[in-house]
Amino acid sequence: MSVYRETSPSALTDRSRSIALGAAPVSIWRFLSGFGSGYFVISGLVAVLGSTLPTMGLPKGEAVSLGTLLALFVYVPICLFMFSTTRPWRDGLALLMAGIGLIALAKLV
Amino acid sequence: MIRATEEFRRAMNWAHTWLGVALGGVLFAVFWMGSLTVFDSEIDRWMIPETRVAPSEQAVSYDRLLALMPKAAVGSDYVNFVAPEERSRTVTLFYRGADGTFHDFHLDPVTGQEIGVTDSLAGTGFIYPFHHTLTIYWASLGMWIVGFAALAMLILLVSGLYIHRKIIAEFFVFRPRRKTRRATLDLHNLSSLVGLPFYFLITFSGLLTFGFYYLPWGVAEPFGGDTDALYAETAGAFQPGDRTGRPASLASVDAMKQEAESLWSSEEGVKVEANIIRVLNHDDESAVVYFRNTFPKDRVVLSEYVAVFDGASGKLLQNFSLPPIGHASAWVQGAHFMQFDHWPLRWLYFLGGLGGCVMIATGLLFWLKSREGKLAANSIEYRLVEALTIGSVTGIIVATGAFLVANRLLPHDAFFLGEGRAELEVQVFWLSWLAALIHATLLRDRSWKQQCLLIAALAFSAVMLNALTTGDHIFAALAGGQWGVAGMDGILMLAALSAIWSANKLASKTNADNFATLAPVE
Repeated sequence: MSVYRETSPSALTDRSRSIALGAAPVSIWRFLSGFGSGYFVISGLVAVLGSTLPTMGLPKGEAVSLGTLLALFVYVPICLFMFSTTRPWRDGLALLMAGIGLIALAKLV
Repeated sequence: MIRATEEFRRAMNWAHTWLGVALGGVLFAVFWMGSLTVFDSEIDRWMIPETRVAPSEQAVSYDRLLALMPKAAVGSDYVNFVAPEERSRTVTLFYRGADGTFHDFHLDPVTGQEIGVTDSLAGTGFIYPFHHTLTIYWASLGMWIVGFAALAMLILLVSGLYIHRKIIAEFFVFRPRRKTRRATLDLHNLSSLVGLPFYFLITFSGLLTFGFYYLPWGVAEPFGGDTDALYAETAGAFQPGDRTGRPASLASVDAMKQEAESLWSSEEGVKVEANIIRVLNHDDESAVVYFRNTFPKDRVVLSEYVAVFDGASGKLLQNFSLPPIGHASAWVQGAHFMQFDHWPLRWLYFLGGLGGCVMIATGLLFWLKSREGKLAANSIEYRLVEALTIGSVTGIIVATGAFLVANRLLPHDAFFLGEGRAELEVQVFWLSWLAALIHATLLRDRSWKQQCLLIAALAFSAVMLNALTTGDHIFAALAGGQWGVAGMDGILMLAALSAIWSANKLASKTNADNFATLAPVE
């Protein structure tokens, strides 16, 4: 049975509204997680790539340039994901932990 | 699966609406100033008439320019020449004074003499920096705001694609005679889709240009936090040693330039020219001379080569060329800067930028029109967005017009409240923008038409004032080969006519809407 058949149009609208709008604290959390934690993630990603790719023979400057290019491709989907997830608290925390983890990893490398 | 898609679409609609409303004003300002920046050199020629010099075929001698440069520049730790080109025919000299402040001069490329110019920041000094910093320099706040807005723009573009499901059908639909709300949405969709690849390119490349500034920790960490090492490896930056205090004369800078260009040309297989010539630690044993091809005319990529020579001996110290990934990144940035020599593409960039302005303005208008019935017209949120929309759209155009008119009206020695002439022009811009915002807040819907008429008056006055104060009216400019000046006048005339047309349309639309409101409901 398809998901569509399980959900009446009115139920769909109500549920969608709860995902899209949510209460103000949830909206703020989505925003902060997407842009804020996302920033930590891409900063950590650039640093990790800049530190690890040279061990595979890529010059450090090139590794950092590549990391910066990729970071911009990653940042937008992160923000879009945080705007659309049905579990913003859990996913926002996971994103924050990922950012902290990447930064810690970059420091270790 | 369908449920997930529908939910995602609604979430995207929410993000699209609120990011657009919150940042539409900033995005419009950035797109507007970016569109003007495409012609920043032409704006410079218009606002600083003394630089409308004839093009010179004679090669510039930097040895001569160094010998003739102002006394205050001798011994400076940073002396920088920007070579002349077709769009900017004088040599620009920057140097850092003993007190750390920068000074700039225009030099005649033939005689090397300083040209006394109108004190104005013009296009390259105000409009271009406004585009990426909003000229808010405290803690680089403006650059961060613009970066955030650019990221939001990418999210708006992606989310916009999701929420407009009938994307192909909507591309062909524009119904200007339908209700304002419908016509606004049609125009928003049309302007979005026509320029979509351009908006992606321009926003992404803008973010990438300042990627190293926006991610300072991430890019410096692999170098142990040493940013000098980072920029040396990625951009060929060179740090000279400390000044020794022992004066020394420079070897021939022209000979060094020739050597740098021949090295680059042999590597590239075609002629490559240096357009940045920089002397660090001038008049000292530790002096170095630095050459770069920042804005080549025959290729998209920026700053492909850097060569550094020892100042005293003229010996090559460093020859840097961009490695492959850096080259790709510099190509994307070059596609944003659009400094290569391609006039049809330059005009397309300008039109693309204006298309972005239309897209943003119609997005804001659609928010207002779709809430006219739902929100009380006097609610704070509605009035706030309304004032910000009018202030951001026609307000910044009014301010730009006032900036140009002030440039032609202020006396050469203008000085007021500790501000020089160039700063006063900028103050006129900000005060006009503020006045437009207040006007929009007070007069609401009626201010659209009045501000359109004001734009027309300012644009027309600017053309007249240029003719009266410089003698270079559009026909004289055309006859004298001053294409940039004639183009500026032509664009201003077109702007005036468009503003009058818009004012008339707005008047008839308002009347029609009022009539519709008064008509009995059947």
